[in-house]
Amino acid sequence: MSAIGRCLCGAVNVVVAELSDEISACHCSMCTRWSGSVQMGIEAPEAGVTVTGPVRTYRSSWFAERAWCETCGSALWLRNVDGPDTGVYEFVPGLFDNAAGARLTRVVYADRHPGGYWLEGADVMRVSQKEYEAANAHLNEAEA
Amino acid sequence: MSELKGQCLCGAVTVTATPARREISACHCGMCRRWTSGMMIAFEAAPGHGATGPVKTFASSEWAERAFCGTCGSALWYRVTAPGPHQGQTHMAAGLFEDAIGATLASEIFIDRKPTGYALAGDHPRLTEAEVMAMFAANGNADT
Repeated sequence: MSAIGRCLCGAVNVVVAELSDEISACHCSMCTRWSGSVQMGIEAPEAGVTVTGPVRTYRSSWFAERAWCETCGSALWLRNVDGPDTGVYEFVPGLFDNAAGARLTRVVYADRHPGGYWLEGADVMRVSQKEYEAANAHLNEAEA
Repeated sequence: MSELKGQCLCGAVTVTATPARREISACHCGMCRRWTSGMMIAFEAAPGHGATGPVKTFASSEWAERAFCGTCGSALWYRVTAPGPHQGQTHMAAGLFEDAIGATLASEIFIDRKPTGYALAGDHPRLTEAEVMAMFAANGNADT
């Protein structure tokens, strides 16, 4: 589906032609520190995405960048810029009203969630750190 | 609790804080949702907390500011700036600290503003926007 999103202060706007209706969450230590809780993302192919405003990015690993609004600090996206799976934004659900109606379907690094909270859902796929890193060999040199 | 040390994703910002209580809570209000990936999970810091590094702040309302790392964009804290009994009250992002300070989620607020596509597990109080506002009014200050 198409979607329009914005950061907290409204300086950054995103227009997305093809936004997934699925949310994926990650409890790895990098995502936890960055988001403050649990990082969530909704995929969209780069073609058909228009971003305007004061975006800053940080290369958090050799293959991925994280973006935020320079004015208000709102998280914007995680994106692979090298290695496998390039060409796709993982927009944070917070950009969109009601998370654009998307639904949580997968939690990765599921066994790494803090002891005090976790996402519910009996039908949500849970992938452990070991399973995820076995399936994504490029991660092993990035996530300690 | 004793003083704890935390850090952002890139390590440029380090924070020290003593939790006022061993308690974390989640906020789904529109501002927290847009600012973080999806929800803000935080704990109240006792007076005397500190931070070093490239901290940037954004006045997100007339009564509060939000801080983030200028290098990597990690969410750091929400602080009440308006004069009154709650001025200076600071809610630190739990993700900066090991195992989210080892606390269990004590409450969720603005639960009626939470997107329908995901939910936190657990048997804890879940307050609507109206309930939160009534509570703040009873305390003589709006400190959201």
